[in-house]
Amino acid sequence: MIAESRRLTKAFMGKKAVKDVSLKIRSGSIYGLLGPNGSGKTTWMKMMTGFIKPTQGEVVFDGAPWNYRAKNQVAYMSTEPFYYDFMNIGMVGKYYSDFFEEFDQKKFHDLIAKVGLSEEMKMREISTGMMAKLKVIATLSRKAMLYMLDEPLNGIDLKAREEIIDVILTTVSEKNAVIISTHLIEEIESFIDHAIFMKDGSVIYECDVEEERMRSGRSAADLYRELM
Amino acid sequence: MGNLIKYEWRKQRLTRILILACLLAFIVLFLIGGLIKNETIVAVSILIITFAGMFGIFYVGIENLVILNRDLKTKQSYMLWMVPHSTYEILGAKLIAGILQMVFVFLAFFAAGVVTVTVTAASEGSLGDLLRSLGRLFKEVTNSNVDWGAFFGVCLLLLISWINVMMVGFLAIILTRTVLLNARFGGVIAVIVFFLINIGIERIYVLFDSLIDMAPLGGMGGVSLFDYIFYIVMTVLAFFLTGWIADEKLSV
Repeated sequence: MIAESRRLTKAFMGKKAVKDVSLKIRSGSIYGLLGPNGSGKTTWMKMMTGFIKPTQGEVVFDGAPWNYRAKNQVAYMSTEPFYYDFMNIGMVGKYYSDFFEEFDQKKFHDLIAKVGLSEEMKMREISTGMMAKLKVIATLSRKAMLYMLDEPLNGIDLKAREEIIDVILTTVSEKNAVIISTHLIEEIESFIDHAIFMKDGSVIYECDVEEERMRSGRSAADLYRELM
Repeated sequence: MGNLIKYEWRKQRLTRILILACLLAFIVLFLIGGLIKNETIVAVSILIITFAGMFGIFYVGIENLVILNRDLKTKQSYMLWMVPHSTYEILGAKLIAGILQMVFVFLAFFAAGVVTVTVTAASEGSLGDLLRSLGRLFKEVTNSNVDWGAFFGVCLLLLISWINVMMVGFLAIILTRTVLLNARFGGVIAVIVFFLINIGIERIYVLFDSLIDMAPLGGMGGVSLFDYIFYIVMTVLAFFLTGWIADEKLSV
């Protein structure tokens, strides 16, 4: 097991955004974290990556309680752009390689070229779709045990989506796990192994997608429509 | 931690360029004054260099606080808090980058000041005479040449006490983003806390100064060693308190 969320709860001004969420993340799997906007997906992910301090509960990573060193092995991609304004794409790669020893510079450069980006492009100049591709490529060029991608397919065209999915699929291995949060279930149901459904801050259902299909004949999209 | 400092230093590059551009403009003004033998322009340019240097050091300290606040309020906070470094290292890098920035501005303006004053004092004319007279007067009053030890002693104390103020600013900002995050008028409260802590530090200084004879400690150029130690200790205390609060409470 790579990571565990033990009864994680987060309250903002007394209102609980995440309620008592317990989950185990195992290696070799792609997880779909599914739910409508405001269901607590982002808050839960940020607690798992140490950006947000839980009100209650605990995060265990690689068998030990969470501490900042775990950030070496957890690669999080937020849905919003977050790179410094003064950077260009090449500087983003340099930043990651400066801080993460295992950052794969070659993979980063190759993927940037493959998806039609240029290292000279500045942050202020690139479009939403380009930014989405850059964030995914930079995050997945790290050699981490856990990748957490928050809405990686938001606001981008079909071709860019296919390219991003391709990058995700080439990254997952038996030694790591990928969690993808989205409300675009149809986009990811063909390649996720596990589906975690969140609503109103709680996990309301969790399943192995293939087993569920064999057992009840329902796809992840069917379940989503039923549960939400 | 070197990489953290490198990127913090990079964030204030535009400010450094602007400050150096201003300094260059003042030097050009000085040279023009010298070439056309207009002592008013020369005197004004020397004065501007002196005051702009002081303002520059003050400004880069304030800008450091603005950057910390922006780093916590915007999504760019992920850039800092996603890296495998402790909160103390991140805050420490910010503080060190701020100190380096202030030292950089000081050295740039100090060098320009020394060159312009020396050139003027060596030149013919009433301004040169004035500077030479001032030099002689200083020598007669103090019975010595310019005491560079005292000059740097005072500069160092000013730098350390300004770093202390900056660190208290860090503390106030972290309080705004943590324990005061949901408070009404949290920003105003943080500003009040900032001033109260600084006033408190000065009160403690006065208290120590009145209770204990610090003379045996010695000092540098007329500045007591106690003054340096006091502000360094206060800065270290503020740093660890800030780090501890951020470590326990800060969400970005």
